[in-house]
Amino acid sequence: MSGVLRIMLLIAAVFSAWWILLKIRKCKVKMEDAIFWVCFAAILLIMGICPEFTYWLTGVFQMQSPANLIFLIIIFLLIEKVFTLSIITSQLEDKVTVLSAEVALRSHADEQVSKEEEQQIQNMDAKSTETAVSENDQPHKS
Amino acid sequence: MGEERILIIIPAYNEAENIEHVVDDLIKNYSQYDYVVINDGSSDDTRKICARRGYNFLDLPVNVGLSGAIKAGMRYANYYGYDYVVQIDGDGQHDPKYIASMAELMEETGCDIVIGSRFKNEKKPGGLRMLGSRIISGAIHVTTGRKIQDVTSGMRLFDKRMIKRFGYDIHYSPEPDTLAYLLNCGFHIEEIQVQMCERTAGTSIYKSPLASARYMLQMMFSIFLFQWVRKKNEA
Repeated sequence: MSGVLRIMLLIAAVFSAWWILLKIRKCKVKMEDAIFWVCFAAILLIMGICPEFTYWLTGVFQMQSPANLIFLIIIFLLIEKVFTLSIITSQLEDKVTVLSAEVALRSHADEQVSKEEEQQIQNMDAKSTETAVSENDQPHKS
Repeated sequence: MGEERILIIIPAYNEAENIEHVVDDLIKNYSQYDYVVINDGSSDDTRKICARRGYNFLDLPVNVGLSGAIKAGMRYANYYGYDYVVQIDGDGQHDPKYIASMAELMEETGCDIVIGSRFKNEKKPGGLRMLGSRIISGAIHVTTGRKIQDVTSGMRLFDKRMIKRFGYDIHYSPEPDTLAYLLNCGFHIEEIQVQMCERTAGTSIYKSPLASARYMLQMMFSIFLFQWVRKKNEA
């Protein structure tokens, strides 16, 4: 395992951990969503710091070189992330659909109610003017 | 004591079987408190029941989870200028008779959160579910130096400062990790002994083994790592 690869792993680990923790500090990401990236950084860190561990794992998976294994692990983790993100996105899309339908439905119901109220007020106004007119029409009994 | 306006928020997700019993009890026996039911996008008749009975309720169109429901309730409290908020569950396991003593304790000690605790004076039982509670309790003790016995209690009283924070900050969930963070910010949290009843009907949202493990993982990360990078908004 070359020194350059190890250094790159360390840099990537430190950078991704720093980045996500900064986002937490700035209230840009929820803490539960950051756990994945912290674990991701930890795995990169372990592989960078202990090449023996990486070699051992390479043997276990019967691969040619540790570099292959590292790529495989990273690709696997990222595919998992894309998969869960895609599920979350589609759930969110569905939520937005339901949300807009509900908002439309409720504002429609509100409008309906206010229309009815207006109608009632108009009816009452019409009635009161009618009675006022009919009272004026009556001859004085003096 | 007495002038403070207290709002009871009752997050309810699919609590059609329990909600009537809970709210009727509040209306009948505790009319001195205002209440609001937060219907968290229930798929059962919770909404219909609230509407039919004329309850005061916020109807969230989609399910956003407990944390989101509490956020809605806190914003409601802030909007209408309440001084204290009590969170109780929609399943009837929290008895509102303790609210008065919780508020009294808050007045006396000037604390920011009072937890209705099952284990303040009584011993915590063993068992797997309490194991989680013990671990979280221990983690809070290690990181803050303070002991909270019933970290997962859903019956809590919040003061005005907490209402603002829980309503408007992305990281304030009604979970134990927030308690740890608040303790480290210098806020004051008290516990008071309460009895909780078993659920009267329906099933608890607690929790498949996988969900429990996930929950514990979140709490541990949050308590041991994330709380140290959050900005400290001191008391």
